[in-house]
Amino acid sequence: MRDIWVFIEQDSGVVEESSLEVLTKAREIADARGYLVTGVLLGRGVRGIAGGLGRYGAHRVIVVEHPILESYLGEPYASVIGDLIGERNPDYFLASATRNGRDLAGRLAVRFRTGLQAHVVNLDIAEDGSLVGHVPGFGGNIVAVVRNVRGRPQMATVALGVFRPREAWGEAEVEVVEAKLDPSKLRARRVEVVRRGYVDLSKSRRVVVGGMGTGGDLTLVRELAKIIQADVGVSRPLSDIGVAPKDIYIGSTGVSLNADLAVIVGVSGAPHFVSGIRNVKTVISINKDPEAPIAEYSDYLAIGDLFEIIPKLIEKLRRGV
Amino acid sequence: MGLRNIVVTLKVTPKPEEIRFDPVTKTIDRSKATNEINPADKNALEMALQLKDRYGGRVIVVSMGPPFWEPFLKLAVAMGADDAVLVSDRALAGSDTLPTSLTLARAIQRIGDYDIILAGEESSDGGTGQVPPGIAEWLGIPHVTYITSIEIIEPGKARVKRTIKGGYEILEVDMPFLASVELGCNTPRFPDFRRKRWAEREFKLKTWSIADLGLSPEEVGFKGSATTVDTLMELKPPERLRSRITGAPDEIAEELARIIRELLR
Amino acid sequence: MARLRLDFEVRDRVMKHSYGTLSLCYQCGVCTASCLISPGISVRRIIREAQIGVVTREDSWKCLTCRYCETTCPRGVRIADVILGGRIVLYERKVAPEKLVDTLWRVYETGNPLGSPRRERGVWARGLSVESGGDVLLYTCCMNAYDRRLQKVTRSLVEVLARAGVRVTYAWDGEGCCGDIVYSVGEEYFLEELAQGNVEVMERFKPTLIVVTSPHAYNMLVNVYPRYKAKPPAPVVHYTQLLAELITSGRLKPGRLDAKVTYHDPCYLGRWNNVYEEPRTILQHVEGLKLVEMEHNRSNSLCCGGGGGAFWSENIEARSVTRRRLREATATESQAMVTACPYCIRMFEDELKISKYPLVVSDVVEVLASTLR
Repeated sequence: MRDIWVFIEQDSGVVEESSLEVLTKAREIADARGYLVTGVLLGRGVRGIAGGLGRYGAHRVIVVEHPILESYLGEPYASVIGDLIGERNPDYFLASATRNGRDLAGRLAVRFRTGLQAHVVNLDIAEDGSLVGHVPGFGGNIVAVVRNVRGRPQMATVALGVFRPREAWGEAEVEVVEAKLDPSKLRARRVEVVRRGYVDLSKSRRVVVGGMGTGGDLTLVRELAKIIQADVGVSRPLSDIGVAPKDIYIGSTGVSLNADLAVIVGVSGAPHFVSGIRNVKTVISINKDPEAPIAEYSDYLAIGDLFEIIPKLIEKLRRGV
Repeated sequence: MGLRNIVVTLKVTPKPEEIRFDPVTKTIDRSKATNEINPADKNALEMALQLKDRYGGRVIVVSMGPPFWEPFLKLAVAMGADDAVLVSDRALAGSDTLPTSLTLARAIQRIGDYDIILAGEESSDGGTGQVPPGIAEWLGIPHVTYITSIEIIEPGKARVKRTIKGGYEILEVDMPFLASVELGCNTPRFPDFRRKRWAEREFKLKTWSIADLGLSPEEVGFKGSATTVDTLMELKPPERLRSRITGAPDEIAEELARIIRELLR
Repeated sequence: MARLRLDFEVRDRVMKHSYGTLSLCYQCGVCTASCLISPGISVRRIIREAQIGVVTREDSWKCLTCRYCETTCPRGVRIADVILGGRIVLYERKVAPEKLVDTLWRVYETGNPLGSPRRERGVWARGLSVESGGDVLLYTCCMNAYDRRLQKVTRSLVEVLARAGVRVTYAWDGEGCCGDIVYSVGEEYFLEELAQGNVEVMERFKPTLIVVTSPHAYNMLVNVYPRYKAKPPAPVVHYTQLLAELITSGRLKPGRLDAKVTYHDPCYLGRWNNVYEEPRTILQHVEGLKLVEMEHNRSNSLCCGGGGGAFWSENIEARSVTRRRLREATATESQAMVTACPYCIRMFEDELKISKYPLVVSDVVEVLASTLR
């Protein structure tokens, strides 16, 4: 019986949502073939949440607990998971393509001299059991259909926001394994963590994005966002001049939106920006320039002054919505 | 607190927006695209040069690629690198990240005396970000990804700042280690054009083949890879309606409100 | 108190760059008082520091190099040259603003500060009568070649010149940045290569005349290139000079346009190179066009806020300068402000997107072309 292992990333007991996306997808593939899905959960005091992972698709979950594992740290995570893989020999190993997921997978793939597909936007297992994935490249315009041909487990990291997690199954079987870790032998240690509140725009269903056309003043953008219950994003130049933090700028080096609706205000539409809105279902743009490049990438382009249009739009929405 | 060698892995990539895809032959045409040093590698090189400015040591750039990459390596020297190594061999064609990380690791071992190895977080063409942790595994050294700064706190130990969701963490790492550097975390210095002239006329970079690294053709290239590309597809951006709304601001606002209400239903 | 190191070698370099006028300054401070971005920088202090060889301040790049202060200086100090000379020293000391270093990379890698593909430099000219045999070489500014709005200016120019029977030739994607931004950053060695490379390209066309679209390019080719052993192979004119000549000699007859306009003197055309009358001559020959002057015009014209690298470093303080000029234009009750520099047009139009002045910005050649259609 083939076994698909899915790395469940967590931090201080909070599970990373994109791991659940991969878990559900793995289960869907597994159900079609009669395979098993095993979640791999490392953390501190996390055995209590392991069972619940079953609802998202895990048949069973292997839990390894240790204080060092509370948040992701490359060395102990790769060591623990590598040892487990070595002992149990799963057929497939998947992780969400978060920073930590890629960090971990890159190391494990070499340890096992196996194939690792990066950041796949589609995934399946072929008749012969080989993992087949769609790997985007060259700024996302070209996709390579890639197959793992050698090595075990066959590995892939999965792009965030491509699959949706579903709670469609029952509780998972939980196995708690002891960590064979010697903290004194670690060559990298965490000294400090700083976290601010932030919004993960790649998960937002509705976003209003402000660009340089706003002159750096996001008041109208925020008001419009509030009225339609959307999050606020910016184009890179606004982040560069300090009007908004780096976390919320949209573009090839920033956030890629997966929203149902994006209202783009005062953004001209340079290539670096538009690659961040390609997955948005409906794009509405407001721009003074009828020839702004954003026109090509919009479903609706309102040509006019945003400072005059938006207050009226807000007013009308307030009355109607 | 002198550093010995600071190695920077470097890749030359075509500008993504200038790549053309031929839907008939299903191949990528890079010939008309401008080539550049992979932007994140420039940030890695700048970080290495700042380490050298502060703590001493030699910055050595290493690449696995075809001969036409030579001028780019010389550009790295013009920016301040002390030496450059190009691993070039026909057998390397078709390498996926497994033989690539192996080849680079062997080259770094041959260079030797490395305290810190820096790599750009990912390349603008393939963009896997897998090679840096892979190299660290081959070399058996610790690694940290997505760092934005490094400080040496005592001989053999560094403190790095790593970006995480919603913030950052500070880690202490024992040397030697490898770190992947976040794109845009610094401003790469513009090359010294006097040094560039010297690099072009007099500097000789080291060119190694796989035999020089003790590797056989079966370990690299298509044969040494664990994944294969079946085919390529163009991912066209979605066809947009491109419907224009014009008129007085009030009329436009009315139409937009109608559309938005419809969508939010 | 900070320790200062007096460096007479540095002083001598800046002295040389300012044609010896650095020593004329007697610290009266009128420059600081009249500086358009005051109180942004203390011009007087920068000059004083240069006199004792102390060149350390990054705020040198706040200067727009508009030379307005030079019109009030009682001693004739070439202040902009003092600043530019200082920047060369600062650049060596790695003090240059990061945004501007990024621009250098773009000029190096793609031949233009926008980072647009080299291959697409000639796209603006497709379909126009730009041949390979003409003896008048058109040299476009990167902005005029790549910026969609400014391409209209370049196309209008070719249209008008064709009307006048001038055979224009063009280097297409062999053309590269004039290097004005490189010079503004203070980098010299890449600039030298760039200048010599551009001259080599021009020489291949064996032109009898070189026409430039940008006053900045004009300044580089005429005043700066010779310093770097690069001499353009033919006389260089700004297109307003050529057009004025074509009109006054009867080879080009403007049509009619009933409008009231005012003319903005670009710093690099006016104060830097004394070209004040030719653009006005063109406008005055358009029937029905009423040309009014702003309060500050000709040699004491105000800057658009984009010079000296300010456009590329996104100098927010300079925008108050842009607005001030827009207010002056509005005060003349003109329908349009007409000018002859791509940076001026972009600075004014970008500001108009945010501020609401009842004004349209146009280029001299656009006005002329519209009367010929």
